[in-house]
Amino acid sequence: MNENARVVSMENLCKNSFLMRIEEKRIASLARPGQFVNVLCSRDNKLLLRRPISIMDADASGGTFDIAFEVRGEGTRLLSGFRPGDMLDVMGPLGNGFEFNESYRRIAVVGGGIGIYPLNFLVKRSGDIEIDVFMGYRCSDAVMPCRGIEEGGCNVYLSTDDGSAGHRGFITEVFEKNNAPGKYDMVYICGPVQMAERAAGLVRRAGGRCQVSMEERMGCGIGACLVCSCEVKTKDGTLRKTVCKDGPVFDGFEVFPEVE
Amino acid sequence: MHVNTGVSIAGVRLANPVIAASGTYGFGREYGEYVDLNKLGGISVKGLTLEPRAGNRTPRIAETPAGMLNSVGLQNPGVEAFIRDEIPWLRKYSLKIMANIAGNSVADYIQMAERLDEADIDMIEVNVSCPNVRQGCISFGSTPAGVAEVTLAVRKATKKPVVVKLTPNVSDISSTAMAAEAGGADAVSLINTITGMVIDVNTRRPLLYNNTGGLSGPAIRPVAVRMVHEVYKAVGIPIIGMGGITSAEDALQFIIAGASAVMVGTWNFNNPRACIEVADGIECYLKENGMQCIGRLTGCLELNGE
Repeated sequence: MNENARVVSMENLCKNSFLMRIEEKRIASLARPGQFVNVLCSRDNKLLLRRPISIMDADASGGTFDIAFEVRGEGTRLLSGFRPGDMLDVMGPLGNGFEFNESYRRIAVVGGGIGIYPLNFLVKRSGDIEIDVFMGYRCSDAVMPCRGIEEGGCNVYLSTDDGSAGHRGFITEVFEKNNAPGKYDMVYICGPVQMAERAAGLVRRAGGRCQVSMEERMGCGIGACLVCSCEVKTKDGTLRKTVCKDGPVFDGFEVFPEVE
Repeated sequence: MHVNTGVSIAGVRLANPVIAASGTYGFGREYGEYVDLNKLGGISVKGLTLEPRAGNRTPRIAETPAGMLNSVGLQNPGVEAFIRDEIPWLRKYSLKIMANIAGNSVADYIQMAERLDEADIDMIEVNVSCPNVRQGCISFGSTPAGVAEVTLAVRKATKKPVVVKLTPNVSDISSTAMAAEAGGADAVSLINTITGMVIDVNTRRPLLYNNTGGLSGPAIRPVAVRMVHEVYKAVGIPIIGMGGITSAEDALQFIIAGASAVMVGTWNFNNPRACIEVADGIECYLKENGMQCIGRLTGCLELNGE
């Protein structure tokens, strides 16, 4: 459903990233980690297409949910101009979300850049288990506060491309070095496709399991227009699935079947 | 005052003149969660091919000023899966079903039309205008001879009403419309998308993997309205108008220019209730203008200087 929702707060998380809290009871109570909302960034039809933005947190009792986004283009630029009290047209919650099993005792999340946001929600909802968090950014300026991860008592590993914070290099290098990617009940991956493919490859070689949240340019956001197609290799053969409705979360080995 | 928004096209009675445009509405399931499908006049389903098709590689979409390019490339489950899996579900609703068919060859069109002739659908929309596939389709739609050939073949293969969907990527759309009429089409629908390209200046490559795509949305509306007007002057069969419709006012432009019905496509992505809002707005317009039915509006355009 699409809703007329009220912006509660806007916070500049870091350089170009914003956290928006939105009051909308239905979405707040239904949202699961890995799902997203499709947002109309301009009320006066300056932009035709909505922008899919992952849900970073949700508070069912308070009736609010959070989205975080980085200003990359016109849509997110317009969105960053919203102020508390403004009304926002959002469709959601959309997509399948991460699968999480109550029996899991140890998980890892591997995120790159804005891919950290949906993983933050997962960390918050996964309860009192052991969680290793691997976060990779371009530089220290881009490192964003993630309350779920910070308050969750996780083991946090950080990398930046320029070495301005944490390990200098890719987060997948840290993931490979500091642990056995196979020791987790599940590894959750979200970020640039090269990072996701590399991380999934490491998990595969170590005999573990992983889920990957995929990113693709979308049209309708609900599975009708088939714009955001993703090739998935399953036991039934190679299928074309929609990232927006069948995904955005897929079995890591189905989207990256022949890693390395 | 009671107004009747119903329209008849080739003997098929639509409750209102608003049809969801092919390729934007799937087979109705997804938008069925947002709107009451009974309130639409009809749906033209996702373009069907004889065999299932995977479509083009991604990215398949690029936003442009007041519009978007798509290059989906006719990803669909094939005509058999449509008949088996989609029609029974869609038939629970009162909206009319148009099966949009796209062929690599004339033989493909014939085979699909024959198969659909036995199926529980209301109309066949012959897609000779998809710009995103290598073979067939738009190559037929680009010339009057090609349009006539496919239309004649489909006409012979089915007793269902045949609507031919025309491409704007021609120098004279009235000549392809006349070819469709001569080939036995019951109606024409126009316009399909306008071929376009967006370039990423950093990579110096087209943004779409397919290089080019079809432009849709409000950006193309004035072109589409002009073409409906031209086709209305050229043919006697009904016209279904489309191209960037976002509101009842937009739809009424097409109707006044000569359309008997309209299709709403791209705007559904912006507003999932767009089809319903357009239909409701048309009804309001009729009431406000003291008109009991929509038929008198079709083609009532008065040109300046005449």
